[in-house]
Amino acid sequence: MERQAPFIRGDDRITHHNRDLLIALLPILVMPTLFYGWRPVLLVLTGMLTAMVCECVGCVLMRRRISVLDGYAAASGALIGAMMSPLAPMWMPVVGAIFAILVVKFPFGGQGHYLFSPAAAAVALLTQCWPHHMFTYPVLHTKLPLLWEVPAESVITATSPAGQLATGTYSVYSGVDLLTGMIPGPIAGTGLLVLAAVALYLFIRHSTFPMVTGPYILTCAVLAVLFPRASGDWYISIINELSAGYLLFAGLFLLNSCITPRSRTGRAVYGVLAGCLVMLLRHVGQFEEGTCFAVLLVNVVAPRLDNVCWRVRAFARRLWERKGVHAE
Amino acid sequence: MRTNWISREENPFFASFLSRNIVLVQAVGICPIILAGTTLQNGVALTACTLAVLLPVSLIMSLVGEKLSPWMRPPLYTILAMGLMVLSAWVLETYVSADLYAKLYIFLPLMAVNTLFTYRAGGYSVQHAPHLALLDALGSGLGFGIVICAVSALREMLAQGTLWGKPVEMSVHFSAASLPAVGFIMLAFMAAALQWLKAGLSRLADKQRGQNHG
Repeated sequence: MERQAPFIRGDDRITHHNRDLLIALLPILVMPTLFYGWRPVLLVLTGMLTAMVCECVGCVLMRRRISVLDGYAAASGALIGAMMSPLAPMWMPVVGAIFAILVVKFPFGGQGHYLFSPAAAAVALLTQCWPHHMFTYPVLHTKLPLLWEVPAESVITATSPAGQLATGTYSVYSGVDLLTGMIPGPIAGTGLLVLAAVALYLFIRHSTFPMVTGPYILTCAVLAVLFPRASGDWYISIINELSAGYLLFAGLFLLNSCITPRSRTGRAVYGVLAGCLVMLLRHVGQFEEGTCFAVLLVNVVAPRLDNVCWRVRAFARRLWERKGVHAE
Repeated sequence: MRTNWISREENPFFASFLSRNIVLVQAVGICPIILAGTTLQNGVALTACTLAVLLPVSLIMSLVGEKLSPWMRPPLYTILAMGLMVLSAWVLETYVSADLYAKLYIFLPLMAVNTLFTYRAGGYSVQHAPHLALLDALGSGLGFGIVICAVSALREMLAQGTLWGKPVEMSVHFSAASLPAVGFIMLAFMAAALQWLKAGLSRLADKQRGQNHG
């Protein structure tokens, strides 16, 4: 395994990281499979396979060693598939994966050099182009046929918590439903408890950075209390906002990549910025779920964050030392 | 020995049109392509207006530019470009299509202060003979035109499924294609393709030169 820039410790860091992401996706897929049949799994697999094929094509075009086995493409494609609605046509993860690998990843120089998270960029494109397919969710316990495209008329659709928050309608989902994921929504966005367990696994395996995800979720929660969109107590607002769309999923899977800043302060600032942007886009955005846009926006500032944080720290230290001299 | 035409820098037409394309290599005049280049008709209209303004302004600047002191040149070429742009906008509105003018109406006045004119008419033309300035203006205008036409035709087909207003057989509509971000991505890919082509051609020329000498 070739050592590559963004991951400092360990030679097989990328492989290890991507394997963990794929393993973490498995428990997330269990609930959607129980609710909707095998279609969600098929969507994720479609994204994954397309991304792997594109990775091979990209490597051949750039005359590089074929690096499909490092699992990066597989993980990106699977993430794209997991952010679809269970009702999405099969070509959506295909288009997303092609865009992610051949337009966002390779032209910037491939692994370790890209500026934007490929999965987030792909989902942003799909959201822009086909918001109808992205945000139409079937009612729970609808067994979806394994067709290329399920006609929307044949399925009873439901409003997701994110849609309810965006339109301001009264929430029909109880706290227990939201915690266990008994709500319509994107494949991987449902179930706070499952996502919490997955987060624990990823933290223990050092595959995500608690210093990013922690401040991110905390910021979202604080902003949900300060500017509630759901009626009721403060904790209802927190649960509603956190379980809407794929907010938590993005915090675990999209914000932790080789773009993430390396210093602890940088990571915390990155998480807080992402949280602020997610909540801002929920209040003013055009779509019911704009987390992918928020991720893209923080990706822009990420390369400078380490530098800025180090400078601020050095400045503070200088101030402190000067104060000490004066005291003597 | 055959000369490598792509690296022939002395021909200003080829330089601005292809080898150092005004948009793809020099990154001049990107703004109208990103914002207005969403249908082929827009692209062609903007190319025609650009040529109609750039050719006379470049000619005049190459004739009188040297005699003027440097501070007088920018006001002169800006006023000339604005006057000609107003004229060509009037021609577009009355004789070609009022509908097209309505679509472009904010972009045409903005074109008059485009870097394309500042850079070619105010920079290159002043220091060169009239025939070179004219060749350069033609190359710049057409170089800008070919890029904006390619980008706008692609975007029109992808976003609306039409070309020059006529429907084209397309299975998927890609409504985001008329967004500025997609315009930037297309320009970037075209710039990369041009560099790749140039690298390939110069490698070929090197090989030929090597064979001739050996």
